[in-house]
Amino acid sequence: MTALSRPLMRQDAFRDGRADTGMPERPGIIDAAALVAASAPRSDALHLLSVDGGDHLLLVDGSRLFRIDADLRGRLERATANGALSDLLDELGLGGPPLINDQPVVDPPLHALSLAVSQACNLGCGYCYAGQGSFGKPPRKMPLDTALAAVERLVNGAPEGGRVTLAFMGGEPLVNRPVIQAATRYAQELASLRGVRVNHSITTNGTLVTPEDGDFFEEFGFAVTISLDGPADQHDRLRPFKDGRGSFDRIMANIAPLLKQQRRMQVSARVTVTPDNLDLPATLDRFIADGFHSVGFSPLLHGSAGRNEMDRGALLVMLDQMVACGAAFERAVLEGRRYPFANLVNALREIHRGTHRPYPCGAGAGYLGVSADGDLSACHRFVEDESGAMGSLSAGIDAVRQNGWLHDRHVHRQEPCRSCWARYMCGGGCHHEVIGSGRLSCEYVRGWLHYCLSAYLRLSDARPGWFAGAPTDPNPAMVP
Amino acid sequence: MSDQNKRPTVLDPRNLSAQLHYRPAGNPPPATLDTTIGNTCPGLEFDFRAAWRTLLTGITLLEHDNLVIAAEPAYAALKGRRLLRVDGKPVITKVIGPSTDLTTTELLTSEDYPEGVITMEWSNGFTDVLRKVGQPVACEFTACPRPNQPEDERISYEQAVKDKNIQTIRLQVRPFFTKDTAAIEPATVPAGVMTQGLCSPWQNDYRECVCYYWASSRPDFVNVDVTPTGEVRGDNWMQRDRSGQYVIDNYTDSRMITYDELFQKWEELLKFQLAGRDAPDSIPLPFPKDPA
Repeated sequence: MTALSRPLMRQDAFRDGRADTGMPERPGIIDAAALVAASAPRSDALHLLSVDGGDHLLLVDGSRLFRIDADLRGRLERATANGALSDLLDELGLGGPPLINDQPVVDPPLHALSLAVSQACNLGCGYCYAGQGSFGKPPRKMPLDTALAAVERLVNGAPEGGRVTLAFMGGEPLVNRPVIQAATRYAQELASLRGVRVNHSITTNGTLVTPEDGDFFEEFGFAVTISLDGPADQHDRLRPFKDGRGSFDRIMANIAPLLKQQRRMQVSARVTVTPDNLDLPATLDRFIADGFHSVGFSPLLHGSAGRNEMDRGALLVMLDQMVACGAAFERAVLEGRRYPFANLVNALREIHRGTHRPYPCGAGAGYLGVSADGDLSACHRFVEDESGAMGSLSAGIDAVRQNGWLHDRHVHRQEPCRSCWARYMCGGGCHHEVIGSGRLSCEYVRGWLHYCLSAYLRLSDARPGWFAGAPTDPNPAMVP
Repeated sequence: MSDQNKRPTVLDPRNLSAQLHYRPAGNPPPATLDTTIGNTCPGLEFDFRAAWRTLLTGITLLEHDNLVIAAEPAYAALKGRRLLRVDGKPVITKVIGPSTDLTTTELLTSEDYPEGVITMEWSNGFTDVLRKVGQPVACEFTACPRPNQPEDERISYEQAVKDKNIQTIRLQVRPFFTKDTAAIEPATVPAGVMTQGLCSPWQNDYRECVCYYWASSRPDFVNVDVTPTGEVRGDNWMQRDRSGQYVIDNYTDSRMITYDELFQKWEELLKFQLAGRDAPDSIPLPFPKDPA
């Protein structure tokens, strides 16, 4: 049963007693539609929520989270309605200059590059934003010289003691294995000379992975992300080979040695969620049992020619499913079991720190994509896309375009973000999806964050020690 | 307080950003780390250095130096010694800089620092040790002052090794932060510790450094009123009579409170300031008046 097939619950699931009992007793009991209602934007300065019978305030500026009492909740609600919130926040010691202002980031230092080492792919995923790997251009591989030039730009621009990330994507990057290996070794050599640390990552479809690749990834401590869309039947429908054969069994056989081998490397599963693979708890359990370091879900909001894209109804089902996954995660934490549900792990870490930012990610700022031809773009998704063009390796970063991008993409210049309480946690949503399809997932994002906030409040009471560990992801996203 | 004024408002910071930016009721705007005027040593609002002095169980260090100034009975012998290394990491370093004629770079020595040795700020010297909260760590002290040498002379670690002037004692690391929070642990740093070493604000500095220096905590223009004609009237906080006629600051002017008066009866003359005005005398002092 999905959220859509149940009758709508009361407006605020977190005030009607069900959520107040703590963690949901069974997956999906917090109705997605009720979550959407509870998380609807009512103020651009705060968001109020009730957990376990207690009231809580999220102050949007600074992502600051407070336990409050019913009296103060009432005062905040009245002040919001009367336009007197600013005075009340000042009185409470919560005023002062905003922690995020209208100023965009200017000329940010480069700290991560994603190399489209192969603009070609052996799979035929119908939804692929990259036009099945080639980004709408003739398939081709990145020449070694281009990859090495990218490495030099990344590493040589980093300060001594700094840390940078070199990522390989595609297409399917392992089509161009020699360039990956050469670029990785070169980056390490340059970095050791300059006193810079390099993190390596690769996103692969897994069909070409060999045991020797596992050795290589382990040697250099790669973060390896395998694109998997669920168990065999779901995955094979969505991610077949170009000739239509299923790819799941091949992938799982290929990566089995890596799952056992991972020590320095981390092998994670990334699931693109479409209306055809919405049984997320089963997928999560399956991949965790397989031994993945973490498992994350991301809805397909802007696919090739609109295929398999999530609509509002499907996003509500996904929200219901994500909350069910979250309930399983909460149970595991309470029982002291590892349950690496990446979306919630990252969100909890970020909420704990109070991360607040005017952009959804580092795209177009410290993170850029590099095409096979050496052109720079706002991220790996904007390869060959003029709307995200940022210069080239040979000519350098186009500062005018980059600063223009950072000005325009600032969340204070996005609608309806400016009036949304979630804007500094969400950052306005994936630039590529928003530019391509608009903001279709705001209800989902707010509902998910509302759930994550309540999970944080429950777990930080029950298991405060869980939050004492170091963040696992240096560049996590709070929103799937 | 709540609008009913009956019970305190509950506003309990839950995550780290809320804790870091929280300004409790009554604290002035510069009371948070990002707004404080902490640009000088020791800073105006608090002396952060003092927080580190008792990080190692049993001894108290000088806030700016590696000298042990107090010790619990079990460690009484350490008083007057100098801490050189903790857990294998130095807490002192040599000062290297330009020579006086600017022609070269050299060890910078002085009468106070004949070996060019200086103690690092504790926030640097103790950084790695913070990971060992609750554990004993090896602390290397000078074993004793060298013959004919004052105890306050700073010596280098190399010199101490050469003189066999080192004694290693294991001391436990106390928690600097309250577990799982960004709050400084009150058991290690009790309330008042970070302000107790500030220059006495009610005395000379408060008289001499007027409002443009003490921007946050020392008012200048008080009891301000705007007349119907738009004229602004008020008092200099340091003027003796609250006449509403602002007196330009000059310590020789007999209309101003003198140094001696400040020392003797500051609370009567300056008044506490509530919302920019002298508090009525009917409000009792929050502490007993110092008989001195």
